Amino acid sequence: MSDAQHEHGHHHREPESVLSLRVRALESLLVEKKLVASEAVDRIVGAYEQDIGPHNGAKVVARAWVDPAYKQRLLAHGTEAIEQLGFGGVDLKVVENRPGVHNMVVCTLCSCYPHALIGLPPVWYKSFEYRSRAVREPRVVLREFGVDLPESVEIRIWDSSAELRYLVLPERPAGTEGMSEAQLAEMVTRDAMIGVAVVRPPAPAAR
Amino acid sequence: MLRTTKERTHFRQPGPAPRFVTGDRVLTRSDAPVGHTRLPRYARGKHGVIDTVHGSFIFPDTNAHGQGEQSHPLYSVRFDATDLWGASAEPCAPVHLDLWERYLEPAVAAPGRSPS
Amino acid sequence: MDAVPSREIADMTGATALPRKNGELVFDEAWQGRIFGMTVAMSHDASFEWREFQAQLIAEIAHAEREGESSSYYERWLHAFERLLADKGLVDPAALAERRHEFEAGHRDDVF
Repeated sequence: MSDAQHEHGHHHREPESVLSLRVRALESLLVEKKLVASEAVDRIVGAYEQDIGPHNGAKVVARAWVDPAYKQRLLAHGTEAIEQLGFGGVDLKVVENRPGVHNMVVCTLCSCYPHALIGLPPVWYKSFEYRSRAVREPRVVLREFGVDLPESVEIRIWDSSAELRYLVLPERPAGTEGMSEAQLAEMVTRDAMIGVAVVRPPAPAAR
Repeated sequence: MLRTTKERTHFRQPGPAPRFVTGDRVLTRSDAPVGHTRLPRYARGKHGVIDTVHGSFIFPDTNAHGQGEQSHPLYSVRFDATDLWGASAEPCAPVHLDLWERYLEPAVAAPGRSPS
Repeated sequence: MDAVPSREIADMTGATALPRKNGELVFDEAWQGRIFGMTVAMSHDASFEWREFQAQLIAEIAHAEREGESSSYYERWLHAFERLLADKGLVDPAALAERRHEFEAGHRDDVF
């Protein structure tokens, strides 16, 4: 888990009020030089504060990877299973990638998206191009995303035409045995949970 | 803290007993779109198979037309790509749609159809 | 357009990961949000590439760790941002020092 540095006080730390003044001075100068607009800063802070990002969904995936009983519950009753991890507010169906089956999610009617689990939808997801082509030629679309699947693999497209939201449970990559749940969660991307990417095995790391 | 934009966050509600079961072949309605807000154009008048019975969900069409919130059975329906797009369809690329019972009619098995 | 979070920024990992709680960004003090927003705003306006700032941030964090400083994430961010602004000639360090003095002495009191 990446936490903010704990502030133990003492050492070489400036008092908070000095930092606050310093930032105000900087903003004052930048605004004066027209390098920054304060309204833009407001908008940005607001947008990023609301952006949950894919962390919640990634936690769900990691839990399913390490806990087979949880995975079964997740696939059978997605809504209840994510509530067990503290994520509510969505009627959810989780679909599992496995050898021979790859799942992909789209909303052709609008751009429904499991916000609570994977944050704000990417611009391309909401595009008319994706929404019309994903149902019609998923294999070609996936190839454009860098996922090349042989014809023997069934590509199941889920068009979220009702209030049910869909989340893809990606395949757990090889070489991840022994990794902690937190480490696994860091590997899971938003695109993998939409179904336009797979989770790559970890590169041999020099840590 | 999760934020939800709608007042109701769960749309699954008690409703009438479902008419179809998993495996049933169905035909989607093809009549005029008035009121059929959640049946995409590409899937109208098409044959599909019930994949999952989701239970009952609030049906948006009655709600949108001032008839209040009514709950009706919702299904995941699976469509073969060739049934939707014809001969030029990609192989092994079935589409699944969540459709309310009111969009569906029972269909007889198509003659000469090979198992997918 | 700047209201749509950039994945490159929001999903930074490792030591540069934005502090979060349950997936949500955490700003313990208002100034942290301001410095975050200012940096992001200027990267959008192409004053610099995000990559450039990220490199400064990585260097700043590494330096602070080596020196055993217990400065917070956003304090390090502030140092990194000031350094980048100076390196790119966007802000004259002397002008910034003078402006700081004016705020500290109470000659200026703009709030943002």
